[in-house]
Amino acid sequence: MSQPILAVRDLNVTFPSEAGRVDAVRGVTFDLYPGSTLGIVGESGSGKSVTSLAIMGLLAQSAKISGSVSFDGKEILGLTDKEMSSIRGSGISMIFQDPLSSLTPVYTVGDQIVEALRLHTNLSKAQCWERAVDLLDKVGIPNPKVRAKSFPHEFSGGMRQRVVIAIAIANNPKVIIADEPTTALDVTIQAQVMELLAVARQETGAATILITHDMGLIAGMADDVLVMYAGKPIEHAPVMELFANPRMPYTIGLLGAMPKITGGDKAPLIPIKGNPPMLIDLPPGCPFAVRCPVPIDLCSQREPSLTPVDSEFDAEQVVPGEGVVDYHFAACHRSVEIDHGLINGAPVYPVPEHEYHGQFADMARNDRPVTLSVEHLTKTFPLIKGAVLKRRVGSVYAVNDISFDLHAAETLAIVGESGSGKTTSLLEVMSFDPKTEGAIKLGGVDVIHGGPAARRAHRRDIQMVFQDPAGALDPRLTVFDIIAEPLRAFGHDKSDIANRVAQLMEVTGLDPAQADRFPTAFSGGQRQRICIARALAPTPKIVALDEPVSALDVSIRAGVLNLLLDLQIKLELSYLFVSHDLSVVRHISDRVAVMYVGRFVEIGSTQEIFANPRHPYTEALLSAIPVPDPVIERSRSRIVLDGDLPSPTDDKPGCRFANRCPLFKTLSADQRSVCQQQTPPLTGTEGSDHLAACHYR
Amino acid sequence: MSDVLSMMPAAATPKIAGPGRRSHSRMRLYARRFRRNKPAVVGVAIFVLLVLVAVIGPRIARYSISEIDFLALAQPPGGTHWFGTNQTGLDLYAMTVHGLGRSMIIAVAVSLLTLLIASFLGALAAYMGGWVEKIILGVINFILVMPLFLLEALVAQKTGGNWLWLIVVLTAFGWMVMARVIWQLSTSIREREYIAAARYMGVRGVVVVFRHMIPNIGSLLVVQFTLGIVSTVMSETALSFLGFGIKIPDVSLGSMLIDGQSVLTTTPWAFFFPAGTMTLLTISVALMADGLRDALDPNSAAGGRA
Repeated sequence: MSQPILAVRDLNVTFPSEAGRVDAVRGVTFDLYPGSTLGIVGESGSGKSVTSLAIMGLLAQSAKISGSVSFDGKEILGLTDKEMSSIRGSGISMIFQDPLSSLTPVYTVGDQIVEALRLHTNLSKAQCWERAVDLLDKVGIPNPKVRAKSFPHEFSGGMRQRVVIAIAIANNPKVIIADEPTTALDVTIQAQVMELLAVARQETGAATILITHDMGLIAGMADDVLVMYAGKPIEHAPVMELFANPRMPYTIGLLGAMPKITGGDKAPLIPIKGNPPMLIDLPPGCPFAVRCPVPIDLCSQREPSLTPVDSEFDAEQVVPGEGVVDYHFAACHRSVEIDHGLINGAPVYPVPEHEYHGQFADMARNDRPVTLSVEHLTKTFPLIKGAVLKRRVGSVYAVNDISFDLHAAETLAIVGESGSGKTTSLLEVMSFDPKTEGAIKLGGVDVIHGGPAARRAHRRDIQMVFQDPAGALDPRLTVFDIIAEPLRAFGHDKSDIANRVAQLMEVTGLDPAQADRFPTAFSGGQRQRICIARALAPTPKIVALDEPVSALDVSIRAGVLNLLLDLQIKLELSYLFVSHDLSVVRHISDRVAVMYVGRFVEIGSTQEIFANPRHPYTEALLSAIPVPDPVIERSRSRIVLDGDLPSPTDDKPGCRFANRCPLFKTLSADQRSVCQQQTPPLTGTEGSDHLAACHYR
Repeated sequence: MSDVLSMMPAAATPKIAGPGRRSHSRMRLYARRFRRNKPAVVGVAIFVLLVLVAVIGPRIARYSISEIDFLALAQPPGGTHWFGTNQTGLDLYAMTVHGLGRSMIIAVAVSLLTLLIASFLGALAAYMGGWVEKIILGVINFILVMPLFLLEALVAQKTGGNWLWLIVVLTAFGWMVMARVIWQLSTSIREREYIAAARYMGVRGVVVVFRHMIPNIGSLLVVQFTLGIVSTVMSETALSFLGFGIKIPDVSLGSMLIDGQSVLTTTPWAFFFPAGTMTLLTISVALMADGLRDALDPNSAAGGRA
């Protein structure tokens, strides 16, 4: 067994703040062995990024750091910035979340790699340039000689992250820290980047720390997993062991709170109650105790330390290239009693009971009334050239001829990567803009061509919930004023408003006594509940949901999704749901429309789409989603698409997916020319509502 | 949905705090952050002191600003003339406190008027968009390229040194930059999701402006107002210094500076008292503006320090 390349012992980081001392990291301890991958997983504010910045010596001056970090046998905590600079980049390198802001826009990517090389080597400029081109080739940038002279803005997000990885591996570092490396990227691009990271690891033999909130990525990439909560590591085990038999209630809850891509029906998720604690003046005892379903008296008195639990670990499941294997640490007073999610034979998290009833629950889809009908919706943005005399030189087809029906008490999910036009479609439906091409019918009335009277009459029938609850709530209004706003706009009288606001807060799981507070006083999940309450205020028939849970932490997500499902049944709402997270889509929706560059490429019932995807793009999209189960994740084959989304500038005939299509590559020349020359229509077998736009499926 | 809501048990309609009750925790946070900024607190102290001097000072003065003491020409500071006298025997203390008051009134009035015009036109341009926005911005840009100081001097010259006219002149040529700033801020607020949400709820445009847009740039307006005071004091002083602003028998700090600088070698006190007072005034306001900006800006590093 080799020596650990990076050994962290009892790392503590505190920051001063307005409200008091923030204990951001408390007692992180781990060993990282050459060639292995440690996954650090936790929700926002759990201290995972602060840990990595502390190791890199990149924290602000005001942070107080104690403990020990030894790299290659040398203590590096407390080194001066200058001394650290020689280690950063060559010994330990880092990949940040946002590839746009981690590259300098004014230098070419080649220059930026050369800069990284010249800092740590004695190579000449020409040699460095050669090596830079070599590196770009290695990370899969096509035509690297030419592309090295390009500026970062000329690359797409995924390509930029490749360049960042090229810089990170330029000096053959011994440790690579990847801080949420794919959070800003789409799933198909994420799959490419994760594959590249694995290649980079083999190439350099470096140990990797993968910091993420996504259990699916951890399941696929990590050898060991450290789970953090409230700044403290609460469970540390090899990946197989951790997923198979978590011993700390928080980890169990985190794994249970996620919708399963393999599941499917609308069974309620198991949320973790409450919110992650503020890290200011933490009370004694376990910080998770208030949210824990199985606390004992000891939990609120003494904080459990990270101690070994007896492990029935099967040594044959060990992934090679790892150091110590037979261990499992958990910070819980009751971890000995917990076994495979059960405590003394009963589940740690009892399954919440939901009763689903309502007049539409048992009715077939076609018997329910159509609440929203969109026909041939097209949205183009003009492409303008010229500084003084502006002229239109073309159009960007953001949404290109989409049609769908939404029935009562039904959820239609529109999925696709960023830039596919899914949010634009939603906003176009919401805006009732008379200039829109196509028809939008609410309860059979065309609100686009029906004139202002029809628009006003149907305004309250469709409401929207936004992705970012912080941005969608005016910070200067109280919760009461926010929820009352639509009621006032639709002319409700004062006493009615007061009653309804209280009822709406109650229905969405908020405390009406807090109505006089400002949105900033609420957590992310509660803010999203405020947004939902506001959307429900004018009693709409349809609610448009734009990624309503993607800005929320995993443990909070489950509660909001349960609420949405609950409200749909109770109030017979139709949801128009936009998301890129397919596991959430699978959980909440009845029907799915897959969008690619402005067009629907496949539409059908959720079961059909997930079980028998017909379009090659849908297949690739489904296979790119990481599954939070290491056994499945490591055994399944994955279709990794190359390239990026094409630009939607012109509306040429032909299939837009052809350049990335795995099926296209297997076709004969004759068949290929059909793909390139004819736009495939959405078709399906007779009588089926599963339609796909592919010539050969 | 109303059926479902009314189906809920009566006990589920809890007591609710009305919209009239507001939490003041935000104001308290701002106050605390402002207080922690020592220079800003010093700025406030100096400014309050100057206001007191400008209000009470003339009442305890032994001489009026036009009363010539022929027995004490060019006297250094001392017993009867606290700040000394100038070449013509005028009491410098009386002139300084009067000039301070005059400069302050002009500064506050101009800054306030400028802010009103600028926020009205800036917010209107941002809210209306389209050709209204184009016209307002066009006018602003057109005025901005003109030699403003020269125009101010010419117009002020015509009005014969009346301080009320000076307010009008400084306002008329001073609102454009601030209007641009407010327009820019408002356009960024216009893109916020809560504005879109309000539109999808059918809230009327005017209501959106007053309920969402103006309050959300409010803190920045306060800062702009404070900075406006500094710049007005500067322009007023400059105009008076060049002889286009306040004229005898009225006195401002600027007009005293022009008198004082010509005799700097013989009676330096005639220059240093008005100059020192003016420096105190601008520095104190600048410090306050700095403190306000840091206290109101959630992203400011200085405000976040514990």
